Amino acid sequence: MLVSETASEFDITTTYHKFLHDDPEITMPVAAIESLVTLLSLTRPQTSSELVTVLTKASATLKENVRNSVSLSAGCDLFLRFVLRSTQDTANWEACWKHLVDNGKLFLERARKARQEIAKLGSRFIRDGDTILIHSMSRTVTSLLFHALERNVRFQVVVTEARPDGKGVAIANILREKGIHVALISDTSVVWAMDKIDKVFVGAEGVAESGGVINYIGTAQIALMAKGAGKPFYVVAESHKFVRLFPLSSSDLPGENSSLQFTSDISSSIQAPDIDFTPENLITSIITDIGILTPAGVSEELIKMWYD
Amino acid sequence: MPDVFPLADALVSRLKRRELHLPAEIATATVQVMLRFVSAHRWSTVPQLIADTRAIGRLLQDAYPTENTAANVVRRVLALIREEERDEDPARNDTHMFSLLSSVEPAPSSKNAQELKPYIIQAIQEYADEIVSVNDSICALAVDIVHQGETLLTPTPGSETLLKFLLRAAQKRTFTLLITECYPNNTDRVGRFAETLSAAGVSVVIVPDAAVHTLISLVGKVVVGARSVMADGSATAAAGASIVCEAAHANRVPVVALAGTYKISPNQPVDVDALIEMGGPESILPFSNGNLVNSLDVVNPLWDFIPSKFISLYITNLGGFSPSFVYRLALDSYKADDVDL
Repeated sequence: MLVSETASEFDITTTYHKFLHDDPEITMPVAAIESLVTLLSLTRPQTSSELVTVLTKASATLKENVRNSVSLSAGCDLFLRFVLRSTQDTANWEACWKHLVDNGKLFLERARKARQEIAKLGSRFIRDGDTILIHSMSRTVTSLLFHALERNVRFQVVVTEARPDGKGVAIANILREKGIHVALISDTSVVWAMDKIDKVFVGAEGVAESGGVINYIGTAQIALMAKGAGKPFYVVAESHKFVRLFPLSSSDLPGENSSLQFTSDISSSIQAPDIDFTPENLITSIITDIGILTPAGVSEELIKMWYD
Repeated sequence: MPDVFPLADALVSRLKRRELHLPAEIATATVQVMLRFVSAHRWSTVPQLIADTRAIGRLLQDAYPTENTAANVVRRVLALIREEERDEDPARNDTHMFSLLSSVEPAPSSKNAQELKPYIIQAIQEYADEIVSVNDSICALAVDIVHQGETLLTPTPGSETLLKFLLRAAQKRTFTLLITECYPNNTDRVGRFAETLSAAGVSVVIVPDAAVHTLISLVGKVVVGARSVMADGSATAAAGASIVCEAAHANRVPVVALAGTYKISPNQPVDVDALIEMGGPESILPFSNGNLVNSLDVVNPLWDFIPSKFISLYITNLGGFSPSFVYRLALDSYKADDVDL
């Protein structure tokens, strides 16, 4: 897995992208954590403050150099808080360093288990005869659907095309290969389909402090439609995606392209942002590996992590 | 382990016959069964004890599937057993988010099964005491909730907790209470409820069920005795409660629901119909009316489902909580492994 042999050649951004590329199952926060673990294995800090400085610098570099850094910053922050907490609690910071360097594989394994745990918890929400709407690629959502399928629940799925990347087509095929009946609809048809839908499930790139979610573009408008039609809207996300941001609307999200581009130039292209923000009042429950939370529960976990 | 069941058998048949139907009675009976079971049953390892306890929990749950209390008490007892085994400090307030990175697995207790037994029994005994004092703890908050000269409305005159709560309030406060007539299942209880409170100096008015929307604007608060509380903050209560809470919500009248912690279920209300107990048709259509009975279907739900958005505040024996916080009470009381018994 190592990208470079020594600390001097090490580039955190390249390592991060390599983790994401090599393992299709890995999530962005976990890839960030694994990159930081790799960095730690190459540097041999002499003091606990050096350890913290190295990590702070690297995560700042990572956040700066990756477009759409919301998700990975959740992983960086979790890792940094964990290190800070461990170096405070025990005088033996070297034990903490060794634990982190030795257990990179274990963290991957735990992240995989978290997804299974979510699938187990969340598949209870799917009942016989349900029609489920899903939007954009989320491995937690698909594994939840597969888990329900293994339990012999009979349900059907409406998948949105999810432009601009259009991954809905691929998701529909993944589900159909397992024998699930799927209706693939265009993003503009969600309201048209809404009265036939029982529940909505979406994944998340990050879950904000308010309990609102940052996810692939189009999630917020589906949540609004679900609210309007009185259908439950469930977010499925691992707790390592909880991030200390408090956006009030999509325009508060980090990244370029956050404002409308007005122009009279005929040749200009369509504006297509990557992510949007779904406010917490549109969300029924957040299904996580640490239990099924109301949106208010997210801030509680984050407060425990940051201010304990 | 068939020898574990005789202890629970009596309770199981009483539940099946619906002889026990008040959550408070069910909680007390269940915790007593748990106490006797842990003391008398021959168990040599904790995993065996846990497995047998769960088996009893399943029996009790199946005996009365729409009622959560028995299963909740068993889940709490299981959590107590697991805490004793793991030497856990329940006050430890750490986020679960670190579980991805943490190094320490909780250490198994150094004590062996026989050494653990008295500790487990003591923990269950304390829990039993807590259940007995639930109403007292809830009533202690009555004066804070009921204001001087206020008009209250309740759709659940069948609730013992609510009666005690209002009686306690009446010691310090003068207030008016509107009670819905609760046709058809609770009409006889309305009279007894009204009489008791009237004797305590409360001015009581019984109003027709259909008048709730008209009268709600006169009301300062709606008080509801909850039957069970789901993890998302929704509740079940006596039939007719939901429409009252909906009317209150539409008119911005606060709804206060009373519930002992043993009513809090770790489950989400995925299938609402499965939470509602159905009653017999005779209270609506007497069997003496033979021709009609033969040609009609009568649907008589005993309970109602109240979505969390209609409830402003829960008063429990641990204090007052917002509905959005109920999931946390459930997470703290029960272990994730015991949600499915």
